[in-house]
Amino acid sequence: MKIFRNASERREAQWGYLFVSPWLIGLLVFYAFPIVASLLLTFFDASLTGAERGFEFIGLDNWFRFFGDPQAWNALGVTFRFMLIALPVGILVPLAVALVLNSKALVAPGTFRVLWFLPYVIPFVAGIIGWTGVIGQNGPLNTLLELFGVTDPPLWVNDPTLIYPALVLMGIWGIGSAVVIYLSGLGGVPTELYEAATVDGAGWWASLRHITLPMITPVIFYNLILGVAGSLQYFLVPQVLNGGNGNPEGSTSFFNIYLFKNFFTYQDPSYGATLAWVLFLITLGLSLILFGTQRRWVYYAGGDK
Amino acid sequence: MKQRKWRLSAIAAVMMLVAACGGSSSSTEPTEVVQLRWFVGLGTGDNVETQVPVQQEVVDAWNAANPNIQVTLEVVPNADAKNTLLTQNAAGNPPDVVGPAGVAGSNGFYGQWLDLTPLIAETGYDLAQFPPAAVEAFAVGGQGQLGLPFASFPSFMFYRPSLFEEAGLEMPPSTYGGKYMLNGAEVDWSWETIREIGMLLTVDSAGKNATEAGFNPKKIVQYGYAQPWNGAPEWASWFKPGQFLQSDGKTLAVPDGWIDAWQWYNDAAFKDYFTPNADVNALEEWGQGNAFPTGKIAMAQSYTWYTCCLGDVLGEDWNIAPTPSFGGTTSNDMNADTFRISAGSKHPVEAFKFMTYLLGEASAKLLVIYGGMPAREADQDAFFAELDKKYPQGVNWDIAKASYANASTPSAEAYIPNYLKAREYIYSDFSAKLLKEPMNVSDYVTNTFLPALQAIADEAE
Repeated sequence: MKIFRNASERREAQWGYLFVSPWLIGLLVFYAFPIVASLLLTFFDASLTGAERGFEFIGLDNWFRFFGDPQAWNALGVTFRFMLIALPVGILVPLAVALVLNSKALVAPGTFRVLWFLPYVIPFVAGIIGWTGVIGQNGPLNTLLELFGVTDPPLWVNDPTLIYPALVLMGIWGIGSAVVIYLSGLGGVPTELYEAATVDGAGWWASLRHITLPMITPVIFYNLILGVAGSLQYFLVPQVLNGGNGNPEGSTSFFNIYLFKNFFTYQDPSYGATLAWVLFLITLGLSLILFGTQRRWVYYAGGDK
Repeated sequence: MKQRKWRLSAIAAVMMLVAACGGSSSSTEPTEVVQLRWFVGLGTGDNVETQVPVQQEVVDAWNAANPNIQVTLEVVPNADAKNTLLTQNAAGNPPDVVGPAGVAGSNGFYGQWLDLTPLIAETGYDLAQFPPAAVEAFAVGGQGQLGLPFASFPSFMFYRPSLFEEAGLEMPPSTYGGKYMLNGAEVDWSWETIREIGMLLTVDSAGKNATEAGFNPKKIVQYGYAQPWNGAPEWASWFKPGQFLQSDGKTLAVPDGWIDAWQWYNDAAFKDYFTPNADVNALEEWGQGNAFPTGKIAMAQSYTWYTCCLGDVLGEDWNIAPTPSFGGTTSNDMNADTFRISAGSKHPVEAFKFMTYLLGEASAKLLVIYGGMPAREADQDAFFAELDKKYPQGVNWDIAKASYANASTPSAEAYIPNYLKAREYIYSDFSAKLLKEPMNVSDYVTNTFLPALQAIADEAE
């Protein structure tokens, strides 16, 4: 079977491969190779530093170790507890903001859109450091609470019951990207549907419930998938906030922090790689479950996807 | 065309020949400049205001005098230094010289330091200038001589005289073995005495001390004692020296007296209320882990390096007293910092030269900014004279010298298998818990702490 009909076609294909080769090389070197290497690493006891630098094949020991590692399970529990709070907020708040920004009643919507998106372009580490001051003991948030009569404002980052709300609050600051995605989805809802609904006497709530939300379910689904993956990979905020020490009382010992520590702090790259693969499999499993449910609630104008 | 090519080639060949001959006849051979990296951050040295500029001066002076060995200073904040260095080592890109770093800072890098023995022999470096025990301290089991003595940080009690005066209490003794007058009776300067005077020095917003009826522990405005940083092993080592790892190299056990020490701290926070608990320590007005410099703390046990962090509030209103005794004996835990050479350094000989410069010529400047007492006894008086210029109130440095002379072993930072993970568990979890909630320490240690620590150590098998 001939792939190319003539020499010109073959030459064209060669040039094509040449032009995409930087990307292909990048994919192989920086993605494919580390993925395969990290999987292989899980079957070895590897030491990258020190006098005993080397690799020893240990089969599935690292995987069995994970099942018997209370710290890993505790970290997984912390991550899921946080996800239960952060995920609904991360889905609903940007949606609410996007609905407001998309409203015709809003004055200067462009300005508000820029304002909501602005924090997203600020390096997140700088944002976290700033937020640490905002929610600090004598920070603006507690000063505000004192103005409202709270005599003993809380220590947000030192109280295990308040740390998650504090982290979620920081997360809301960076929802600009999700808002923009929602706005693009809202912009894609055909106006004739609203016009027909208005003729039928539907109010704002009925239009939202029966037109807007169903029509933007693909966008909600997309944000949901990103939200699940993002929550499971939660790392940067606790790492910057307290160096990943788990304070207060282990409530910020997220799975990704534990993974990082195994890799770097404890110099155990094999087990770190195993934890990374566990995290990948959990993320994959949850994503597959969500993809399985999309037939029931996600509407694609072009049919099932 | 062809002829022209040949002609050009011939000219190029002649030029190459001339260049080659010129090279060999040159009297000034180009000398290779060795580039070294000095990594700072594992221990002290990362303070951008007081330490980094002086370290840079030291490097600049070296570079000016040694054009063939150029050094670059790399300062990494202490919180990130460990991971940064581990990553550099794992990537095969270790710095040449690392330090200052103490025992704890280096324990986590087992097998990653160069044995200096051959270099010492080759260069004839004079070890006799240090006390033999100080040299031996860096000869770590089976790995050779990993460091040379540089800075010692003996420990003692910092105190604020004005708060003692206010409370009508005697000043702490000015020598080891000195007695303390409490309520008209002569008592030992012991941790039990610290508890008693600590309560007298702890005052609530109504002016009542912690021994008085009606004292409100929720409204404390001044504490008798605070423990700046460190963790459970140091706290316990000031009661009695010891280490977790037993002689078989595998089994962990809690040394005698350590549970008493930890219970003392737990009671101090939750029963006698003379030390800030974890919640108070977290507050900005109480220094977030370093309460003594707030001026509202009467005593704090620490090391000489703590002079780095006393701030401006105290002014000249502080001095030092002996480490209190426990069970009739005193245990002076000591930190010792030095520089090390990475086992993977590509220029060990040049690195050793630079390291000996840091230990020698540059040491006078560096020791002052690190708060480190010179390991060379001959340099100690000059060092304290320098400190006296900085702290002119007449600090009783004889206490520091006596603590050094009677330093206890093993160090609180002694090795445990799976050191980095074990250390994190001890400091981030267990030590934090001791000041977080009231507890029966003995039960907790037996049922939770020690089994968990042993499990971590066993992972190293």
